[in-house]
Amino acid sequence: MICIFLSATFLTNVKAAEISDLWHKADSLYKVRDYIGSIVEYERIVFLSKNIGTTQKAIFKKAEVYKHIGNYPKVEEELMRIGIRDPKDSLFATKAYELAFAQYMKENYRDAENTIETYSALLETSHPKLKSLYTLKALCHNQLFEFKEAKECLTKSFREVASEKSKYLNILAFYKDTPKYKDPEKARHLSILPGLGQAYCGKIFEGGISFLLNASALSFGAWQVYTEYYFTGYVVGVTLLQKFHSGGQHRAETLAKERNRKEIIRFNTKITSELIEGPCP
Amino acid sequence: MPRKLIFKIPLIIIFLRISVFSVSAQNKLEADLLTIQSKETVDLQEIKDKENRKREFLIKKEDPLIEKINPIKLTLGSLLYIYQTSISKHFSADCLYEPSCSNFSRDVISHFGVIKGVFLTADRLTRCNRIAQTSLHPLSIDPCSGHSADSFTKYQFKPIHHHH
Repeated sequence: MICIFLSATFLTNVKAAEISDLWHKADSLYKVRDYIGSIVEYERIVFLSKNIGTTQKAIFKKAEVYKHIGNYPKVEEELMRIGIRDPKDSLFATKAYELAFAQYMKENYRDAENTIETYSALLETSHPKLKSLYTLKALCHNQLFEFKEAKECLTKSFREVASEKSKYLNILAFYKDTPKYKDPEKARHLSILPGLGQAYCGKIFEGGISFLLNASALSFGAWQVYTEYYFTGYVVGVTLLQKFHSGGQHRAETLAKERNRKEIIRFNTKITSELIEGPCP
Repeated sequence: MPRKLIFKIPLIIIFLRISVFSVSAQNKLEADLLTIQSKETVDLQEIKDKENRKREFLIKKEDPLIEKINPIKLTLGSLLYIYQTSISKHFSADCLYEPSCSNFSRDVISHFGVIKGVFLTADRLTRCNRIAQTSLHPLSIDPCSGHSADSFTKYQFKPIHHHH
């Protein structure tokens, strides 16, 4: 045990040259696609280095590896370890963007929007990273069906780049026909009258089936009670009615969520396509 | 070299560095937008697949004629098909098992015949409730889906021989 502690003390006392070797090893592992190996080596640098800049760089590189393999929860976790408060540091804006991107990919759109809001407020208005940050923020607002705010972000994003005016105008044109938000909570509550929630989501036929199923269960229960089969009326009729009614409410809520997701993905895809491939004058 | 130009050199270098940074930032943004687009395309396809989920019928094309015209199998198959395609989504019930009770029923009837299939279905339905949930073996539960594995293969006395 003593030996282990002595070795640990000895090992932690590394020189700059050794850190340089570790960088080389970690970067090489990343290049040969040994991602787990490179993650371990970057963490080793974090553990051994006493320089705050080196530590932050190693954590950032580790987050980049996680991003490359599509593990966005880990990207967020790693970037949160970087404590940086100076907006003049180039890592400040880069961290903000990568953190917001990871949160976007995790579908935490409100978190991503808040991250960009917080960090961009501290950056200079001419900072080159602001364009990317505002573009990402616009996509977050779209996901949250906040189209007015999304348009404002896009205006800010294109403000500095006069050469991309036609692209900007094309994107703004999409906002004339924005998808309508279907409130899942409202759909659930409307389904108190069976089928109405589904009809609200545009599925009128499905709503009709739901209404018929509920009506059948209720009629069966009532008929059984009328013919004095009280036990059957309660056990079969009421149980089925409860199952169909709560099932219909749940279904209406799910339909609203799926419809919103579908519509907003289609809308966002139009915008991202224009941003990627749009005609440049 | 004129004196004015010498003063401008650092400014030109700064301008070039900013331009290079902006170009790389633009490329990075485009790469990330592509990542977002591909992820959202997959999400959209998943929703569409879920909506247009195809259900198998109890009787298959390759089954012998005697099974295809079996009235009991036809009735059971039709009831199962109607339940799975139209009623199941309106019904407030979350099955404890994987495959779900209706899929299990289809499997056991097609593999073991109507009599054993109906008995096994009845057995499964009586085990699919909150009281029976407490006696599920923890190792049979898939941590991702939260469902307990209970395939029809657990109920066969003889192993299935695959003919090549």
